[in-house]
Amino acid sequence: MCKAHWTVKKGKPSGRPLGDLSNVDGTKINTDATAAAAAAYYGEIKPPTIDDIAVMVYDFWRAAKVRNPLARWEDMRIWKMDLQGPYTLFSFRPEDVGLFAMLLGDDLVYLPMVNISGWSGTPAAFQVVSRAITWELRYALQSSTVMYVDDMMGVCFAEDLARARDICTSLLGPGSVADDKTDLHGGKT
Amino acid sequence: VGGSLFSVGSQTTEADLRELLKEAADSAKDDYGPESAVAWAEGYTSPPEYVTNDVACLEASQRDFEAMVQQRLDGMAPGRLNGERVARLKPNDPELTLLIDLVGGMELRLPEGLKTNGMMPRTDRRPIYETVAFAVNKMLRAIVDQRLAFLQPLDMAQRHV
Repeated sequence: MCKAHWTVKKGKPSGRPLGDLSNVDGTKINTDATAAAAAAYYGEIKPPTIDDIAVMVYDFWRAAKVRNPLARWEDMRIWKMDLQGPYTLFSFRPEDVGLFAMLLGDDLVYLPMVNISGWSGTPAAFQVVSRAITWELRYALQSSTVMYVDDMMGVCFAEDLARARDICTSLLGPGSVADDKTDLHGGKT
Repeated sequence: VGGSLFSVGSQTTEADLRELLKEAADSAKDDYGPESAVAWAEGYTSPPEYVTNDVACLEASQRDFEAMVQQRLDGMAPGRLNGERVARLKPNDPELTLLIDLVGGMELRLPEGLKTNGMMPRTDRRPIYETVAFAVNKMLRAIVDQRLAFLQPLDMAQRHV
């Protein structure tokens, strides 16, 4: 059973709760080895750089001009999209839920069925979803997208903006996009 | 400024760009801390039905915790990542295999010889949790409210989880 923990979160006066999975009395499930095992199983996370974003726009434009020489730069849109409670969008296996038990006050135990902040394998697992969405967007919209865990940024033509959101909700469910942190109106490049 | 990628005669000034960069830097600042969390959760009390509902749920599952979790997950599956949704993806999506794996739950890759400790002394709580306990409880109970987690009394958890 792990200890309840807390840390600050940008823009949130409440901060955010954590499970302190590297500070337990029994065997720790958060170790360098388990983080490495998750990365080996699900794939390494590669955060995009500003260079990657600039190259994304440039590559999209070059490919668009090849497909359609009449394509117009001013019709391109940069968009960003956030997922709602990303770590809650997929679950633990029932037999594993007890491993994430967290003791709260009043002798209550919190038992999460969904990923929690604090488990070192969560970002790597989520990156599978990120890569799938990125691939689908590229395939369906010929859009270029970069994604770091739940933060997506992409470029496409104005008429394809709404479809980017649809691809996410089709895979993850109707409430999966954080509309308050999403800009799908697109900024002109 | 002008060239093959940017329109000639742009009205954007250096001052505009500096202001944009300042806004970006300011957005990354964080002035919140434990005090703001305490204020955020001030007056919060836990509705007792959170626990009684989940205890009743465990009783209804003949105190089989895994069966209770599976039943809850099955009920929520239509609105979440599931096999049907993954099947809508292109068959050559390179992530299909891992996504199907995730539908059944995350693969943990746990340490060899894992032994769970079962309980933790009450005195061993994190000091920061003691400070912001109401805020943590309020946030976690919002997840319970979405039916994504359970709350159980410690003795029930120790006996049946």
